[in-house]
Amino acid sequence: MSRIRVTDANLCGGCDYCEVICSFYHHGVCNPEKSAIRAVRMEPGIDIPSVCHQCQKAPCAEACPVQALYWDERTEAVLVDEKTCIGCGECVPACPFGEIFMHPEVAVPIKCDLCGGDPKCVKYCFKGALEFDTGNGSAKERQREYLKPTAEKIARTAGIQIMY
Amino acid sequence: MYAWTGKILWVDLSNGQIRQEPLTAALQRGFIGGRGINVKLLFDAFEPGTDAFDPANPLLFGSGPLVGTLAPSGGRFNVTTRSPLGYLGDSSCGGHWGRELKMAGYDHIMIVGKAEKPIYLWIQDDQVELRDAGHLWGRDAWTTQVLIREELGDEDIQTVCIGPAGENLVRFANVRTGIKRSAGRTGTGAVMGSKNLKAIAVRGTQGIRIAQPEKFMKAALETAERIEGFKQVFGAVAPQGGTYGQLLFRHNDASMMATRHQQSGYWEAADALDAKVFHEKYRKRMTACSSCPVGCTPYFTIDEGPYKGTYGEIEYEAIASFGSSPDIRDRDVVYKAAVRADELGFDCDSGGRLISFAMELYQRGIISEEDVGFPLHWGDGEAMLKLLDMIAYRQGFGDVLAEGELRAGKIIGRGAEDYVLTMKGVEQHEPLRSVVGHALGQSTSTRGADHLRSSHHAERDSSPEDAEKMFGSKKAADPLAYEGKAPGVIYYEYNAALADMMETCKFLSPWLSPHFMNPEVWAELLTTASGIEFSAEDLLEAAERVINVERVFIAREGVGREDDYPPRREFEDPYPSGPFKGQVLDRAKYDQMLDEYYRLHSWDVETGIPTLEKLRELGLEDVAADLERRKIQ
Repeated sequence: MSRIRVTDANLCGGCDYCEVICSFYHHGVCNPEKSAIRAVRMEPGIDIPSVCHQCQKAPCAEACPVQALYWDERTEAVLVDEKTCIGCGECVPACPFGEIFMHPEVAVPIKCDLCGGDPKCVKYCFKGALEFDTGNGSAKERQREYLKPTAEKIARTAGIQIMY
Repeated sequence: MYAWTGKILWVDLSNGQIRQEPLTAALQRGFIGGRGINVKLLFDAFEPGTDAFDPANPLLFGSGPLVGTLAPSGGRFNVTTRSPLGYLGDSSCGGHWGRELKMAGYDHIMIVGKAEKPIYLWIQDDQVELRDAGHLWGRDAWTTQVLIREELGDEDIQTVCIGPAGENLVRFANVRTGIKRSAGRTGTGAVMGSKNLKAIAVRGTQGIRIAQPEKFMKAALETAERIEGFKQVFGAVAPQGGTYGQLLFRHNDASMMATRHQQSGYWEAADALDAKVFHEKYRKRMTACSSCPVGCTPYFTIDEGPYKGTYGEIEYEAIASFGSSPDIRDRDVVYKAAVRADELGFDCDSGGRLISFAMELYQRGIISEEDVGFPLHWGDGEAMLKLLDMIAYRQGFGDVLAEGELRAGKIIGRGAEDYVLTMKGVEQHEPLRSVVGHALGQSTSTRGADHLRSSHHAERDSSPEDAEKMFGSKKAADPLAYEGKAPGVIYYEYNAALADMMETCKFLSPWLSPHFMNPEVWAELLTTASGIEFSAEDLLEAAERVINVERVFIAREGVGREDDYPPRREFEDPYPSGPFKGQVLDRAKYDQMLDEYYRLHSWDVETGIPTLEKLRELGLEDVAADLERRKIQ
């Protein structure tokens, strides 16, 4: 599965550039209300980016009465078929993460489409707070990191030279 | 309308009238935005001689055309009015309120009159109303913002407000937003308080349109890339980021560290406030203003000791205000004082220097324990903390200090006036004996003692070759030289003004370095964003126009050449220690340098007032006519 992840919420400084670039890239205006990604601000001092999980069994898609939300095989994103969408807004309360919004002017949802495979927010986040995860992502790296002390211990006692 | 929203919100608090006015093309082209348009609107509406606390004194808030866009650091706003402390009240502020104002659909807000009782303004796109603020009056500048969010039910509301200091008309009260952002100097918060205006809450959902999206995006992202190196030093990833991390020792090494009320420029105890310890033990994360790639502001908490539980954000000026200037070496006290000043809502630069003024008077026996209520020795943190609240609530001796250093000196008398250190009524915050260009810039600043109008960085940071290229003399790179300084001060003046007009950050402007944003970059960003053609020359001319309007504004209030000098101490009291021990400014050379500065500006050399020719050349016929009519020359 593919989605945008937060690498470390501590890195987000709340500059909101991701919101501006998302709305700009998709809708040609600078408007956080039209951004799929939101840097959620909890003053004082906390900012956490939040964006669609691209659920493979998406509650928003389940809730849609006309099947206008669907999981796209190529991008691995949950996309909106705007021609089919009737603008009922049922998808919005269905999302447990609050990551889908209704467009303020047009009757379609605003949600992350991974920019077709090259997410702009990830590319232009100044702090490296976001990453584009196309697999199990950092799980395998974290697994190795977690095992390092154990591996070192084994290597010492068994006289093995670790090459990593 | 692209880039700008095209609307000014006009509010009369005396009768509750609220209306929208269009932002004219003349203002856009001639004054750009932010401070520039604010100042022109103020000039046109203000009757010279009006008291700052008179309801007729206009209070302006101004965002800029690049705010809320992809332009890096496009997030600032200016607050402009007739200052109750000096003459021209004007201050720039970061955070997120500037962007929210644009999102709500306004470039500027102009407020006149006075409400009968405390109110706050609530702007939600086109819906604007005045709401009762009786329950907010008296609350500190942070709690007010939290309460407004709760009351109006939206966590994304951005608010500017005043604290108790503004309510009590402390002459250097500030306007606050976020946990610590402020329109700090010149007392704009007191004017807000005099109008019974507690806060302006904003929530906007409208977007900003861009005329040439692809070109604009390219220019903006290229600019962001150039900032990468600076970010590494100043921003979140830096071990000692922010102005606290970067400026403490640089200023001390240059003898620019406010020490014991400018008795010295070198603080022997600077290690006591070493930023490294702050970043390791106190700083929890770094935060950013809207659209800024750097994110230079440390959010910190105090986890142990008598001030455990204190939280806030901090930057260099507070360290000088509450640390080196009153000679306080306990970092917990300094951080606590910074947070307290933010809560109470007054300028740390003025407040800290004022307390140092009182400490010097105490040192010299001009005031005593009887005047203050307790001893007031250098380095007494508890005494300083007590004074902060006394100032904000105008209690006892605090009521005298709340008037600002200049007036306090007169009230105290007994020779106190000899130790007043102000420029155009605003407290001097940096000693200047070893930085000649900086001294000229601070002293000629249109809003009074200030490093943000013009800060001659090249005299400290530049190579002689670069200095010659920029200002015509290798000596411009020597902080002690008087040559090549006047052109430098003007260069920095124009670029600082442009940062204030674009409402992007000065740290990413030629005020500090030309590598990030400069007139060519701003011109490209503004042209592609707005669809209106601006060249670098157009922008520099607009900056010159703004400074000339400011100069006439203060001239109408009686400011002249005699107000363009640093205090006597800078010429007469040699630094007692440090790398520039023995240094003073040379009055004769300063005079010549000031003459050169006026000539380069085409201002009258005897009065410092812009000539009618210069004003007309800049298209300021109305300003020239006004000067002529008032026979101020």
